Amino acid sequence: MIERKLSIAGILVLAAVILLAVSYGSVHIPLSNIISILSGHSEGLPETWKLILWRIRIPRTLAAALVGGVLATGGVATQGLFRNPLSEPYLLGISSGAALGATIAIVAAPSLLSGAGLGVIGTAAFLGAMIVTFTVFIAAGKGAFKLPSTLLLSGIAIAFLCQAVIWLLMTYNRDQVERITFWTLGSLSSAGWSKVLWLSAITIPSTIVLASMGRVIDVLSTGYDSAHGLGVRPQRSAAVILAFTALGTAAAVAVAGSIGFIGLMVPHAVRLLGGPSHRKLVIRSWFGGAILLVLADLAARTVNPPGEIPVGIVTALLGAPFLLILARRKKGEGRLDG
Amino acid sequence: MFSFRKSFSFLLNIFLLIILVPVLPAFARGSDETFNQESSITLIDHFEREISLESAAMTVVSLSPGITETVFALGYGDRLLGRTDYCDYPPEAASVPSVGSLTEPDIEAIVALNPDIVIASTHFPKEALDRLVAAGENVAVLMGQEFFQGAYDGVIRPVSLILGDPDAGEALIASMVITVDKAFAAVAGFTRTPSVYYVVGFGEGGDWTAGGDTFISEMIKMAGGKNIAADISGWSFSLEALVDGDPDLILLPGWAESIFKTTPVYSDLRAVKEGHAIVIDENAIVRQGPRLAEGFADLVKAIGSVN
Repeated sequence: MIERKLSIAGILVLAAVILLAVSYGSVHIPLSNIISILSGHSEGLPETWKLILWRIRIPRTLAAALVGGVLATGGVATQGLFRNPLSEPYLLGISSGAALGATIAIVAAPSLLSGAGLGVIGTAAFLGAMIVTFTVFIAAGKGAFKLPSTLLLSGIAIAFLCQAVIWLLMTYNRDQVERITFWTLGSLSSAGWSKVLWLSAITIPSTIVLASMGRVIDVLSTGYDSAHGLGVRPQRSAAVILAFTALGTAAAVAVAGSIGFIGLMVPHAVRLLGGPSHRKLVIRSWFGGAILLVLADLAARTVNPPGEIPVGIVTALLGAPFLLILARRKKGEGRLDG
Repeated sequence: MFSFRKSFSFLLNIFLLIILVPVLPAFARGSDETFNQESSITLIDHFEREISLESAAMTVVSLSPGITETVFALGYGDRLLGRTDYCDYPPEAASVPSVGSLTEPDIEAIVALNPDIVIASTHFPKEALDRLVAAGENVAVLMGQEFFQGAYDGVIRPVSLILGDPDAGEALIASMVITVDKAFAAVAGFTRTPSVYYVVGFGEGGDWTAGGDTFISEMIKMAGGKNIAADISGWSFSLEALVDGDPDLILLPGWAESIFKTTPVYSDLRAVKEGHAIVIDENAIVRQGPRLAEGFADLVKAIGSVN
């Protein structure tokens, strides 16, 4: 069966890129030694190599896969629900809320921040994302889940509001501008095991929920009016889907900052493989997003070693031309929404 | 989301400005000064502009933290009418009203203060100079090229001249020379060259340090250390490279001390475990002013502690 072959291919390609990403970094460790360390035969090899592999590269690569996967599934859910090919989960106010939360934490207590676990910045970003997304839902009013465009407008308006507050805080805290900027550009450089566990605990369940609701998204994406006839309660379903999308995306953003384009780009690329089923789209997009972000992070940390560039820059550099090519291809077919 | 993208270049500019700031003194030029028989004062500033005052300046607006520190160290803090947001030392500077940031001083506020002279230094943009001159202000831009001699000849001597007290300038320089000479003598006695990592940023947002082409890296070298990031240019580094570099000494900004030592992986660095992660006051080593000598001495002491 084609679907089964695709799933196996997805798993194999992801495993291959993870291995590739673990093998390269700013510090050169010979491949044979990497295999020795990974298989537990590390006698006589430098302690720093073990530390680099087990405590830095492996958790960082796994975090990239989890973040990329959940951002892409969020893109599928929002594009399907809003019936808008330019939708992405960040439109719900998640990234601006997370950035505001992180900015407040950086400004309020630059020296009290603990680096353990999710950290104070990550926790503040997660709370900020959830609070702002909730505000977006409330601000959109009763009809939010009936008419998605009001939700989008509400999200955009509140994103601008958050950005204004961030700039205001930056104006009065110029010494922290640098840290705030780099947080918002997105990076996986601080992703250790505790963050991997935290990401797994939230993003895997939220992805499973979205995949299991794939048929509901199928129905909603054809229009809310027809949903009733097919036995789906559109507003309630939309609320559940968006809540899990927001939760998963907020977890990703809290760990890695607002990495752009994955949520927008991957669902479109995956649709090229054919098949309108949202259950399949969610699963395929998870693999697509995971593979893409692992590779983007590998590029971010190896193009100019030992320096790193924010991974959000890499995804944007890859994403913009991709979208343009896609738009040209789709124009021939007369529509953009797959 | 959209607003983030729009703001990238703006934010990046601000960031680049901040991180490039410590490199600027390297491009600075010394100033010559002449002392007239009468009480009038003439000197040539960094931009080779001739500055003249009929008599010693009784009121001054400082547009640089280093200049503010110099004016206070010479004992004339009471002559300061204005300072920048960054002028945070000595603590008394806080009671002087601010006239804005280093790069965007509030021209109207400066004109309203009507000082005898406005003194600027590194990272003072030419546009701001032109606008101040057009507004009729007497502006001197003072900075120096070399590390210590630049502070003496480019900043402290001309500022003391402007304030009409060159003797105070010479006395301050003499005490700095003693401190610096002592520090160099200590370096000469070092038995080895410890490896050093200088933390600019870490954790969320990436790892940043002072690369080989920076003022700070030069300072570390002079102070008897070997910067593990000497091979890179600029500021971007990585945690992997830090672990691999395995420095003997880690220099931290004050805000980072507690977080750095408790963040996973960083807390496992040999220097942290051995208690060799030490806070250093960056402002004292990058500002051309009276604290440069003490800042250098502190750096030498920190490097000496792992010798």
